[in-house]
Amino acid sequence: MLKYICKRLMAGVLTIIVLITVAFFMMHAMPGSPFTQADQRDIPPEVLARMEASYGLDRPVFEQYLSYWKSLLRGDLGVSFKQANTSVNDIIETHFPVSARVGGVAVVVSLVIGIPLGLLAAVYRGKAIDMASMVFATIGISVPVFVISVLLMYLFANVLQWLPSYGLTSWRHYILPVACLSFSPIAYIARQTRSSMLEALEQDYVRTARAKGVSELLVVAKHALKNALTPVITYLGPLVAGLLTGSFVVERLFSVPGIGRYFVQSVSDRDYTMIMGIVIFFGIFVVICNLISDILLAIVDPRVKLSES
Amino acid sequence: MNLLEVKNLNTSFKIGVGTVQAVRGVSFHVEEGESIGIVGESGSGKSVTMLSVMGLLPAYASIEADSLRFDGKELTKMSPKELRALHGSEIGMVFQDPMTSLNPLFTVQNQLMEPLRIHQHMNRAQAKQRALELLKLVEIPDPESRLKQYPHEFSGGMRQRVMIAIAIACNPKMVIADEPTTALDVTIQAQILDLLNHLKREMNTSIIMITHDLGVIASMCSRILVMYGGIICEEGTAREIFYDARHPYTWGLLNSIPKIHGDPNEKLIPIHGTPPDMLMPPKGCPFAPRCQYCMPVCREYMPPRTVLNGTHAVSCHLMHPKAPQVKREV
Repeated sequence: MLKYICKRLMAGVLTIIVLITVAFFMMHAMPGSPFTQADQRDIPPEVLARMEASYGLDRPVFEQYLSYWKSLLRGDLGVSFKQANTSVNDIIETHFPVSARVGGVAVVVSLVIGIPLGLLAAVYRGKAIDMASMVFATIGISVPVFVISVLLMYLFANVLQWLPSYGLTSWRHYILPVACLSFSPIAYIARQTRSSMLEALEQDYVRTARAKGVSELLVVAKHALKNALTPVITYLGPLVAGLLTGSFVVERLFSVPGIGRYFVQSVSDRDYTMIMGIVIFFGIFVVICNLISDILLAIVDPRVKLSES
Repeated sequence: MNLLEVKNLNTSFKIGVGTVQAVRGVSFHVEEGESIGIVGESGSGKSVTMLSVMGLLPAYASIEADSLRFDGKELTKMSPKELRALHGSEIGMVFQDPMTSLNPLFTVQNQLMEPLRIHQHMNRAQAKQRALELLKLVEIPDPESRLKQYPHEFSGGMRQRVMIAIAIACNPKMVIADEPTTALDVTIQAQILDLLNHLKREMNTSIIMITHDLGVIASMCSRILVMYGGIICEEGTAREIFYDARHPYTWGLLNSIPKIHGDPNEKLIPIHGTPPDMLMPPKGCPFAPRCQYCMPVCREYMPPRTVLNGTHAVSCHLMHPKAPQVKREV
């Protein structure tokens, strides 16, 4: 087990190194630099040159790459090009916890609603509850998050005025962003649970359980559900990574001071250090979340052997 | 006293294109401590018959019977909860494929303890103790460490032993074994049959053995029902079936058993043709299209059940006094 985790972490480190390299050179291949924005006032060429020199942007790209590694190995992600005097480390440290809180609630909500919904749909296959939950699931998967966000915001914040539409100062502020974030994961988890549950209920071991006199509730909740949840666990890694690192759309729309919006913003700003910092952070996060979900899967399903993969 | 009495059981499945009549008017009984065999090829209705008795068929199956009586209790009038109380306690069941019949995500111990805790209300320690005894009873080596293992760590034969242990956990009055050896190789088959025989003698349990292999039940069952096309075409004691069979289908089954001491170059005699389509079962004898003695009447009318003596009964028009006298060709 420990050996497997070490191996996976090493593979993860390799992934991150490749990720950093690819991201760095692609970023520099983009036209423009942090200081050539259309909306910026005209800067005299000498000033621009001096600014670039002070950030080391006038040196060859490969040299910049090496010096980036040097500071990175010290744990320093550099200073943001756009927010003067703020280090990228600081930005991640302040804004990630906000995204993680909203995202964490969204993960829990997705699981707590998605799994029972799929379960009920499978057990009452073809009945009204099945139809209803599958209609909901199809909507959840096919409607983009910004449409849902705007609709919910309009309905609950504007028309009904039940919930605040921006900020994150009380638990009521969490409701709308969490609802928008978990909408499509709920739909996905419900669909996945339903189909794997239907499959599990057809299996011979479920018939065996019934032949043993196991109550219908236990047949479903113990024998079938545990088997049906393995695909959901596989999906859990990317889901947790995705939700905890925040969403650009949802954080933008609900003015949540999370990290998600920096992802898109830093690219359009060509805020080099910020782009790299977020790419590395997300990369590490995804690697770890996938590792955890694989370990979880091996705990649930004894046939999955960690050492072999 | 009859432990199980089935009267006029009809089971059908509604599917998209129509209704599959899997079992059509089956009646039989099992006495206490008696072992019977139900023989027939795939699709003859033998498994469906027993699953109907157990109430383990999917919801789209419709089961009708004049009477399904187990140990003096009418199963057709029982609530699902009452039926569940019988399942696993008074009736145990062993299924065909031990590779898929155990839940892969739970330890053998967990699955073995389940019926004990449900029906005998044992606490964990008692159930664990009994589970250990059961594994010893079904002759699994090193039972202590085996208890904590998962099904995928067992071989096919060992898994079937676990299934048998689960079936007999609560000392049932009857065990239904649905092709318990079909998925196993020949030497393991013999071991499993030995084990079932041994348990039967030791625990005085009735066994209903469902199989397509007459050889399997020869050593185990005192009475045999031969099923074809959803009906019982012949029934009798093992002796009557093996030495005095009257139905051409039974002859076909007997002729297709390989003989160990016979001429190795001798060809097995197959039963030509395919079983009837149970979506549209023939109105006459279901075996008529494949029967070499088929008469015009066979295609038109279902043959009546002719009782030859107290135990031997045949459903075949050849039993009619005016029918031509034919004998089994060996």
